[in-house]
Amino acid sequence: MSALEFYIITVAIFGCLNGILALGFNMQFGQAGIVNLAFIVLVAVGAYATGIASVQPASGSFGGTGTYIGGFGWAFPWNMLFGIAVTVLFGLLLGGAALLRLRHDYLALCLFAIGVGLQVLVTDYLPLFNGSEGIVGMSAPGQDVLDPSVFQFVFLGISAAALVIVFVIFTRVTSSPLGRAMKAVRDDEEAAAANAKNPWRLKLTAFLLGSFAAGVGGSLQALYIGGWSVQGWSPTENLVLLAAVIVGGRGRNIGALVGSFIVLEGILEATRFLPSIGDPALLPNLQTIAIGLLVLAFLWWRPEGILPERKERFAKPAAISLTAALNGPGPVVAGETERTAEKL
Amino acid sequence: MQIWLSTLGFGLVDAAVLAVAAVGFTLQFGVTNYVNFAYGDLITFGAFMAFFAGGAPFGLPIWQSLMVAAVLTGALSFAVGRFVFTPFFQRRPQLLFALAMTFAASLILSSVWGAIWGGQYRELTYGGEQVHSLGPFVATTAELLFVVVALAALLGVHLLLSQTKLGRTMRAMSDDRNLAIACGLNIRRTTNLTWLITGLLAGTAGVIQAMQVHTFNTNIGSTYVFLIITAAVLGGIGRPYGAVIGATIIGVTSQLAVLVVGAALSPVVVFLILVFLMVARPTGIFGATGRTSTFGTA
Amino acid sequence: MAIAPALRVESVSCSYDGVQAVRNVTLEVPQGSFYGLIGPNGAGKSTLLDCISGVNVGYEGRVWLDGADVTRLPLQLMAERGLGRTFQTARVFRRMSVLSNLMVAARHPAGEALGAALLGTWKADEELNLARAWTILKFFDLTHIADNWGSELSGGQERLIELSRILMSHPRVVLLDEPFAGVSPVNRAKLANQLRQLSMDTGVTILMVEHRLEWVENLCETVFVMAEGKLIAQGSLAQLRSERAVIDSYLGSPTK
Repeated sequence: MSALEFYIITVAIFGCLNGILALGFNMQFGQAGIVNLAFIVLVAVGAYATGIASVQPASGSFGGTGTYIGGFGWAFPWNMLFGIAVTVLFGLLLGGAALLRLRHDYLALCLFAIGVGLQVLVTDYLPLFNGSEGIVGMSAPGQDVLDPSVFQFVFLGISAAALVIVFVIFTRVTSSPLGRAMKAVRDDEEAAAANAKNPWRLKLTAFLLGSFAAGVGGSLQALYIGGWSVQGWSPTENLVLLAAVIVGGRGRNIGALVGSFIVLEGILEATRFLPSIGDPALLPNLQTIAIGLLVLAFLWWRPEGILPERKERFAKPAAISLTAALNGPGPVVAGETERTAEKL
Repeated sequence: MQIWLSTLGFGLVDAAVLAVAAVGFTLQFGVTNYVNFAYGDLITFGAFMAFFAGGAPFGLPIWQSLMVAAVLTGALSFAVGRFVFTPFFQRRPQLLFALAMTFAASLILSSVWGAIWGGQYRELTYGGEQVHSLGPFVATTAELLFVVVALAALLGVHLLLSQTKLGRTMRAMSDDRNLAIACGLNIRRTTNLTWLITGLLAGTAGVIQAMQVHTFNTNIGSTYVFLIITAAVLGGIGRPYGAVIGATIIGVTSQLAVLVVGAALSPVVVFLILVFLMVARPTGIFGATGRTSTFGTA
Repeated sequence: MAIAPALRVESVSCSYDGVQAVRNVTLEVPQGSFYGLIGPNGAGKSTLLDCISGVNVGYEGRVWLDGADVTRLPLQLMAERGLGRTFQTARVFRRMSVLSNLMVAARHPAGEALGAALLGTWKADEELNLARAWTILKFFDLTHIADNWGSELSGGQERLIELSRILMSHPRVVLLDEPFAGVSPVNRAKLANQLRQLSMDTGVTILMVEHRLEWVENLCETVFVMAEGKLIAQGSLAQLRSERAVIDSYLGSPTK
């Protein structure tokens, strides 16, 4: 395998993983209208949880350096499943608390502050996840035994399969009455409540689905990179996801994927080979500026994104009488309506 | 006992600086009715401006550096508010877009700072290491001056809000924007001046905070917003006097927490306050203003 | 035993922004009736609707729905119990089509549970709701805009969509907040007929806040009059026209 092929597969793997995260962010932001600018925290939870499940206990086999909780030494897929489970649980706590009473910009503000606060905490408090050094030494399935080029294909397969699974689950949700109700809450929470929708339940469901995607994506990222530290979940990473959803088209799964591809390959990868001038930190900063400007440009000129949200398609409705349509209380039994329809 | 009291003193110094920053944040939110995620980046800018004004080739004394930094930050805030944010809010008034926009703007600004100034740490100090005892408290000359500057800034805000027509208009817009518009108040001019004034406060707070921590890099503002937002939410967002109380509580609590749980874990205490507010009292101590309605939860 | 009134409001008082907007209001709306609620601007009509429907649960007093105590239940639980309401400014889900706007309001659709959504076991239920939504749209003569975005509607259409959406959730009591506002003059008579037909055919109980007295007179058998937060009179509009207090506070004003 040539270096170029190796590189292309690496890019494809990150494309899949970022796509998973973009889908998760879109579920919260585009589908349910939760402006969660701390989404990346959920990703970090998945990555850290997978990390501490994978590695040996601190001061164990790594020469006694580093301090962190856990260290179970579990193999794939148990470490990943643990990571996903912890993320969903964390999402349940965070979402359950934040969505209970906060609305709109207040919610966005508090979630953002929580994200910053956790970043400060994890950096300063070493016993948790080894501070800014992070956790290193987890290995992806087969990485230690397989030939590197074979391993690349294996991990690409795993990532692609995970992306497909998340995409199918999310598409089933967004094309169902559940997804429709989430959009209603997003558009007008009060009016949705006036139609007997439970905004908290619907938003929390979206939040948990997003957490699930964050857990899957974060876990696989940590395994592939083989380590996870504070740099992996800076607000910049959240901007990448926001850009993906804004550029691709919020409220549409395929839009999030397309946007993720454009932002990741179009900006992050395309600029990777620019001649490095001066400070090595310069390129990431310029990339962030470019992505930020891309978000502003889309918000200004095309806020619906490249693939705008579509209207639902419905089959041809059966004809029923007005009385059957209106008479309550409670849902009419299906059989009765069919009879009514026949009579017409 | 002595250690508690002197820690309380440090907490009050922190609180004074935090109050300046939080008042700026909360005023801006109250008047413009939009969250500005880029506020922390203004703080960073202020700190760097003072650093450069004080260094070669300008070599300004610290007082002049502080003023230059505050004015430049105010000018930046005005420029960003007037020429980027306001047109944006007019074109895309939906909340979702506004939040996404200021978030993106925040990261653009912080990356610009990172690209220009790199990641290395700078030092900004105001000598004044001499220690004074004030009753039970101990403080250095520098710390006393920080408090004086912060109190002067807060007094300025108080006079602005209570004595001037501009301040009354700002309060009216914060309390009920539609009513303020209906009353024919000059919304546009007040909004522009609010960007300027809150920028001045951010710059001032940035400089003092930088001197407080001695060494800083371009992350100084983006991590400080954690305390700023919590203080503002605690005081009831949009309420400047609430923000002062909120900042006092947060500043003192996080210093006292250092004694109990250690410096690394002291953010946890602030964190718990924020989570408690979210669940139990989202409108803070004095009730929030503006669009932050909490329907169905009275 | 007498049948419980569809809606009973007892001594409800409510402050809004420090102003006592509703003062000690007691009223009853019998099953299947079509009642009106009128009063000058700022009389507290909308605030009263907000209290009853649970938008504002910070009120004193008690509310019964079909004989069950529903005091201070929030909006969503009131809707669960069969109270539908429209808002003073019509609320349409803007980034959904008109038909989706109706579909979303179906009462507990099967596909709203996560499990059912994932398994796809909601299609039969959906078909039924679709037929209902379509029939309701047809009743209001709105099928031509069924595929429009919610953001592309005229003010009158928004009102009708909001009303049709409420009907999707099988309400037993409907509170209408100025249903004629924004509806073009030519369509008002049509809307009045539709409302009358709704009331007669389905037995739904309606309480309507409205400024335009011709429609109140036309539709409502009994009218409540509010002024300065208080309920000052009750009766048919013909009777009320002769009452001194009503004339002073409301009807007497030549602009009405």
